[in-house]
Amino acid sequence: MDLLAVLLPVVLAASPAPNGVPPELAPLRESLQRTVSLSARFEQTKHLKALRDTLVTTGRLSYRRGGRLVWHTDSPSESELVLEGTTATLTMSGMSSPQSFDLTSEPGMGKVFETLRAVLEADLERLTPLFELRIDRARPLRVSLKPRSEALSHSIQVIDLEFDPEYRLRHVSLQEPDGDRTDIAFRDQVIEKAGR
Amino acid sequence: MTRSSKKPGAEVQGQPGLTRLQLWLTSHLALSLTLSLCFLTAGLWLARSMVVEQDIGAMLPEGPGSPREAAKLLEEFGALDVLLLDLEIPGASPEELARAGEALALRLRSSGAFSEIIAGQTTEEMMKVGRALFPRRFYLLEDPRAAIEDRLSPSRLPGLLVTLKTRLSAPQAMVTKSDLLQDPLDLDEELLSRLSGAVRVKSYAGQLLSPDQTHLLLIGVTKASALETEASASLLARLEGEATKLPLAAGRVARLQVVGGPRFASESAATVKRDIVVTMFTSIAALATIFMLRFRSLRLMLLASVTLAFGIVGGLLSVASIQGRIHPLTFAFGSVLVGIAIDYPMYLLNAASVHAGSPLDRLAAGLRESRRSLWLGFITTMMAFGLMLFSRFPGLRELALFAGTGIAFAFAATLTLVVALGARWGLRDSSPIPRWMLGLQALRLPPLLAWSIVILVVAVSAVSLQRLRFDGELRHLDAQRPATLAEYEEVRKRFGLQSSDSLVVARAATVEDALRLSDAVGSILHRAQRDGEVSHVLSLSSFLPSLRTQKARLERLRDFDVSAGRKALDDAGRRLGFTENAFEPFWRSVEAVRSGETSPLEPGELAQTSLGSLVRRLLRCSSSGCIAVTPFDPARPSVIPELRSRLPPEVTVIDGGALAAETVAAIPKQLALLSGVGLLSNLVLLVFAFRSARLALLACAPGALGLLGTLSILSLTQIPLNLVSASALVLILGCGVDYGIFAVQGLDSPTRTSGVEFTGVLLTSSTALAGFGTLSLASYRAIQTMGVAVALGIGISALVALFLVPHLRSSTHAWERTPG
Repeated sequence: MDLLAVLLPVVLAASPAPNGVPPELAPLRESLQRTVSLSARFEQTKHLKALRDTLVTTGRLSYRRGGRLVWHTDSPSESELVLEGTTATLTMSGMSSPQSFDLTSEPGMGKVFETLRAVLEADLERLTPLFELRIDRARPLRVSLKPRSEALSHSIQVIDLEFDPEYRLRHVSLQEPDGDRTDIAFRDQVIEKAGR
Repeated sequence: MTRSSKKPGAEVQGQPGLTRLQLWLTSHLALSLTLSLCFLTAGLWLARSMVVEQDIGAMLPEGPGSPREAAKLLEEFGALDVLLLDLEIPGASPEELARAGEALALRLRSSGAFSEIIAGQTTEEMMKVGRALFPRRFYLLEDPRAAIEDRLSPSRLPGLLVTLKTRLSAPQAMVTKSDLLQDPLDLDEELLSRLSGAVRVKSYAGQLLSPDQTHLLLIGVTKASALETEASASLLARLEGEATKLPLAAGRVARLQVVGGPRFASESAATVKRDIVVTMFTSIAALATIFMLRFRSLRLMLLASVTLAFGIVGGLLSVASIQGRIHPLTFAFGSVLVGIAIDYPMYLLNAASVHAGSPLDRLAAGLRESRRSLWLGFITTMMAFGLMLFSRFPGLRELALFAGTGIAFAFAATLTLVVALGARWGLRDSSPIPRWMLGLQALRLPPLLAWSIVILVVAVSAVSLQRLRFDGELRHLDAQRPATLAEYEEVRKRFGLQSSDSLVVARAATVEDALRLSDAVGSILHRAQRDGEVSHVLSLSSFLPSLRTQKARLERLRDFDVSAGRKALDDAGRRLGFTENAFEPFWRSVEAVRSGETSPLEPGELAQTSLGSLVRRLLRCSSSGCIAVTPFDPARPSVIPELRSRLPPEVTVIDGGALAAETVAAIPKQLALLSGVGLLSNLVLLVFAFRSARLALLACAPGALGLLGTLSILSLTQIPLNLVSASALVLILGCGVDYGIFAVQGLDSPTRTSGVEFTGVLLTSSTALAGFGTLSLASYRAIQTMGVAVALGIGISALVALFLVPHLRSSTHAWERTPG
């Protein structure tokens, strides 16, 4: 899940690292803990078995801590996903009205979005049991996340996150169990941080 | 003042039995009173066991396919026991609102007051529906082959595949990817658009939100009937505080607006109670004023009121013993009708007051003097109610039974108990007719003017009656406050809720047969919807067609050339970057249906989904068979007969508007017929009694002109008649003929100079106006409209009897005397 991957580090940093979180993530956690809002351009490249070519979309991600997250995909595949609390709302051209999902009720889709909510709420207590965290490279930081639960592993095989030396997210790679893969590259990040 | 020199014994010759009874009652007054109290108590006690019929449809004719059955079905599809709870939290996000709605729903469910709290569909519920319907999409599409071929056409296919790519690029595609590739032609969208007819409000996070996402809707079905008004009022009071108990962010304030059947019922009950108090006190005050002006005694008012107690208890007793049940409307309206029985003691006391002697002598003399008029008035009233017993409307028959028997009891009480009580406590003091009342007799109209007025009333009514409207909508008789009704409409409009006053009912022996009929109905109505004749259809055929229909669709799918279809899709897909096997899941689902691996959809498979309750409402089975109901909204009333002709003959169309127009509107026709027959019967009786057709016509003139004048005024002022005000026309006729009888008697009476008859009409019409006229102050529209109609009718009848009849009489005498 691309969004999940994008936001995971944000949230990882939003609360104190519990036992079991590697100490190498402390600078990232500390950096993102001070993040009040974040906005960035993205380029998403999907490698799907159903498509010969890659599916490339661009857009903007914006996020305010404790508030809503907006994943806006530019034209021609224009769509918008808004995550707020326990609700995901999707708007897409051709849809008569926005479609909302309650993240608490549906076992499949809800599980994925619930995980995202846990990420958004910096609920490391829930994330740590869900993902095995492995630090592939300390600096610039590269982390991989592997789902522990079977339910989540039906949708996500592994997530790789790459950061720049200032611990800004640069690249996310999300591998699905059926071989499909999503790469997301971020640029033009605007981060508002709280003072110390 | 005329002084009678006759002794009580003189009356014995005329009515020995009655007089003996009066003497016995007078001399055994304590026992008489005890017996009377016993009768009233026993009557009320017996009436307590009566079933109170709450269904207004019970007043309509019943039987298979009857208006009553139709009304019942409409009521089931209405929202009597349903509360709409509209939650608003100014400034809150949809998410906050949904969270508060969830908390409110939880509180309401645990309150025990609701049998069901309906919120939006959760994602899980939506996916359950999808899991039941989507694999069977080819059974559910009207023509699966045509649907696929249409989407595979070069004009549509590229667009559909581009949309598919867009969806695959969306964030949630990770979860929905396999579903998307199973339906590259977006066939599910067509199924969903059909379902959108069934689910009219949008779901947001498992809650129903208004399109602008500022209001949240919960639909509560109350456990208690809305008509249990005390329970409804207590529930509404409890709900008032619910908004303050919701967990909200600091600074947020929730507003909860509650509308629906229980609120209407509760407010109606409060309105009726208030109306009863207002009209009772104003009419008592008016009556007291009249008694003080005429008799200078309130004691006589109490005495006269004894007849009303007997009348109401007698009416209840008769309905209890014959029917065992009563509708509150019959009791309320019937009691008002019984109220005219106060005329009898009024005439009696007025006539007695001008005689000399002991109280009993005076009453006996008064009774002797007014006996013929009293009996004629009573018999003509009984004839009117007797005719109503032949009506085909149970409501009118019940009313006739209650009011007719009640008036008979009141009349009997006048001739017996009122005389006995009056002899002891009533007429101890002389109470002559005030001079100013007698002075009114001197008001004279030239005969030409009198006749001109008669001709004018008849002419105006002949023109205006054609424009008289009848409002057959029973709901307009309710005591709904306009503000509450506006709130209800506002909430319904806000959430796009629609009502269904029109239903097509398909009856059959089995579920499958009922569904087959429903398919035929759905097909016709959907076509009518496309043609703009119908604005909304909720048909089972959209998501649960019959097995025969599904098998026919399977055959259509088998006719489809899969190889050609595959080639078209693969070619287009290749051009847009899809791989060769990208659409394999789609073709597998086609093959699963064609081979029978995927079975047709059956009702049981929807039972556990959110469509289950809808299926249970629309498809009902009992030991006598099954019915499939299709609610729809016609674009205009004239569509109904056209649709009827197109639908299968086995189905029945029930339309609320047509029901009102055809069934309830038949009531005034019945009443007009009964009034006409009643007037004719009165005329025959009076011809016999007066031995003169001219006098009989004169006696009937006040009633007839009162009726015509009332209808003309209602027509000219564009006030429509309704069920209640139309029924009140019988009362106008009854009172008017009574006034006419007394007026004619006064003209031929040897004691004409006493003014007893003139003042009798003046007093009884004043008391009737005091009783009925004050009803126009009521806010309960049924009562108010009756008050207006009866006040007009009685006023006109009384004016005709008092001021026109004498001059019409003198001019007819003059014509009789003119040679040639």
